[in-house]
Amino acid sequence: MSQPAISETIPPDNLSSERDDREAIGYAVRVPVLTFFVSAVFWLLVSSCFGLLASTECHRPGSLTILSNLPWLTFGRVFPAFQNALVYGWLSTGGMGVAIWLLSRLCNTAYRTSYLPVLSGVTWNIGVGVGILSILGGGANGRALLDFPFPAAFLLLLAFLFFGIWAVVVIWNRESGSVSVSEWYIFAALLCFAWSFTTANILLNLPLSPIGPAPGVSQGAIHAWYEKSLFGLWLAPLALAVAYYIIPKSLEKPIYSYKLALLGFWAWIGCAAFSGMAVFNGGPFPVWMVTMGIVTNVLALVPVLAVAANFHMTTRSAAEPGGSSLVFRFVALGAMMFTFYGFEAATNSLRTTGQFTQFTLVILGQNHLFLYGFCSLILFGAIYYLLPRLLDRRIIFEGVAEFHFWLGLVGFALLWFDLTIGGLIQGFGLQDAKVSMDAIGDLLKPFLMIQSVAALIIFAANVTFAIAVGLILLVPARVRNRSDAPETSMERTPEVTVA
Amino acid sequence: MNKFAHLFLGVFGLFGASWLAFVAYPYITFAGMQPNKDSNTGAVAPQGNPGTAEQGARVFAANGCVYCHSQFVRDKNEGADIDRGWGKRRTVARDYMFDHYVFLGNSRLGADLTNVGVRQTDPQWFYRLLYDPRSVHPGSVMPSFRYLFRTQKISGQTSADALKLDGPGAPGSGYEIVPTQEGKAIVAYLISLKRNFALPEAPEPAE
Repeated sequence: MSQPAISETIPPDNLSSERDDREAIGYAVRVPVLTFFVSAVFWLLVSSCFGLLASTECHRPGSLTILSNLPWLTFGRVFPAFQNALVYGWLSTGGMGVAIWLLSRLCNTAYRTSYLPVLSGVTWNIGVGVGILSILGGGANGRALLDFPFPAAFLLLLAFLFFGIWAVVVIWNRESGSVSVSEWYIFAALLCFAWSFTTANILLNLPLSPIGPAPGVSQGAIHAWYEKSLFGLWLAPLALAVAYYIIPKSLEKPIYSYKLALLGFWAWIGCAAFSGMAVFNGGPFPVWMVTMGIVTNVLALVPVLAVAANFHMTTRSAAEPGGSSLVFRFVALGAMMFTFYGFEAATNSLRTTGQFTQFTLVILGQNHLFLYGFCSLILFGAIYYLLPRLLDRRIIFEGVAEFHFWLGLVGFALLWFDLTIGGLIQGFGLQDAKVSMDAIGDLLKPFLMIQSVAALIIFAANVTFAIAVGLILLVPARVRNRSDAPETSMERTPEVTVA
Repeated sequence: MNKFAHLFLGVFGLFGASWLAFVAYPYITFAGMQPNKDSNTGAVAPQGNPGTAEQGARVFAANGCVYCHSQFVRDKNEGADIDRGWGKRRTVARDYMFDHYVFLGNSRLGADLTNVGVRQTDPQWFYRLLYDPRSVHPGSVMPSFRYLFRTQKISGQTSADALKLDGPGAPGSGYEIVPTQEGKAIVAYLISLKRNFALPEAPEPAE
């Protein structure tokens, strides 16, 4: 097999006692992290099956008559099943797995009891499963990414409570010392998700609630606020925490500027929290609510550029090597997608440009840029980075992972360009009352067809990823000679820290 | 821990402010909303929806209609919604004050449904659309919802709401295709979507 470049980014270390300590931390969280990772990969496959089916139904609506008799496979249920499996099943589960590892690693606690995160992982997965089945069974409540009916949402909350208790204990018992940027992001993510998920479900989802459902269009406002919190203050911080850990680590360089990281963090929290309402441009709300969404979407370019500049300067200052490793490529490309996402979100929310993208496939493309281009790529990188280290194995058959990278990239690029071009055509059509809805539908046909091709490629890429993970898990390519082994735990961390 | 306390307070403060602005404020404001009473005619608008429409809203939610159909009309300078005939005026918060389920939506792969009950009043039109969308709009990508219908033997008279189909899709003689309870409910809901009453805060724009 080729050189295991993925795991050889870290030179051997002489501080063996410290290394053993940290390995012990790694092993203590091995079972919970694996629980989260394996189920995340499972949900990724489930979600891409649904995504492929939803896209096919969209481009050949009449030819699948069998589906019109099966309520659980109608587009309006398969599509939310796809989205929820992607967000709650794949990205959240995987992100929590990485968070367990990062928190134990960075807090360096001696806390070893790891049944709480395992319990959390199991409950979380049952919740996602119940939620997806409820959507297919007709229990969804018609709010994107809040479709899970209350029992499923309650299970997720319970799982998150277990997770939160564990995280608080770890942080409480943390060795005093510097707090890294990754920890900041994870901490913010945990707080914001717990808050927004609880609020949204009690006000919009809880049956017979004395204070719900929220009155009239406040439902729309709460929903938009929740969706943005879910993206910007849960998934994004988890992904950025990984990037802030792996990019300097791969390059063996400390992050370029701590102050820039600080600016990026606080400015992002401040902007993302207020930018949800931009989707309701022209909607039935007081104008200031939408305006605030637009302004913060544009202001968010400050943190987006701060993060980008920081990673760029770190990469540039690195002499080399590691920069070419597969893990680094996944994570760095994912981080670049975050920059593109920032620009696209700002453009699409402006009143002048946004009126041509509002209600169109462009927005779907923007969401995929965030969910796949940014979060998923970073999570792929994180899993390729952590799995061999957790199991004390080399990554084998690196060609499979390499294939996954390129296939995923091609599929995603095709999807994004297709949705963006098709969406712009749709948008210019929608803005011209002389173009009938039927005519717009005809114009969109080829784009919906290409969407299915892209969905198929991404599906194949995800299957390749599952195979790569399966190979690491199942083929016991144990490293025999520990002395020349790649580092299985990461020390000498050049993390950015609070002085 | 001290550093985490600062972190906690910072995030709590920022996110809390957004919670106040986008959750607490709209909740309180829109909960206290009153319908408009026309000073000349004494007519009150909006009025509440019938119970079947409420059931239909649940069918609308369960089948993900909101993923392709929006329910709000933008002002004339913000989009072609009014020119398309989707409404005579923009929609405002008061239009939705009695709705238990508000589906604003942000995708328009299909038409906006804010006022679909004004444009189409015949249940048969909706039944045909749901049963076979391409018989109404040949190029439509809308899924057909045959599971909202059932084929049954005609006993005596043909049911009033039986589908009037001809061609290859028609049921055999002696049989008819009728909407299920869910099918009737969602059509009742769609027909109830009428936000065409006058409201002072949203005057109809001049042509």
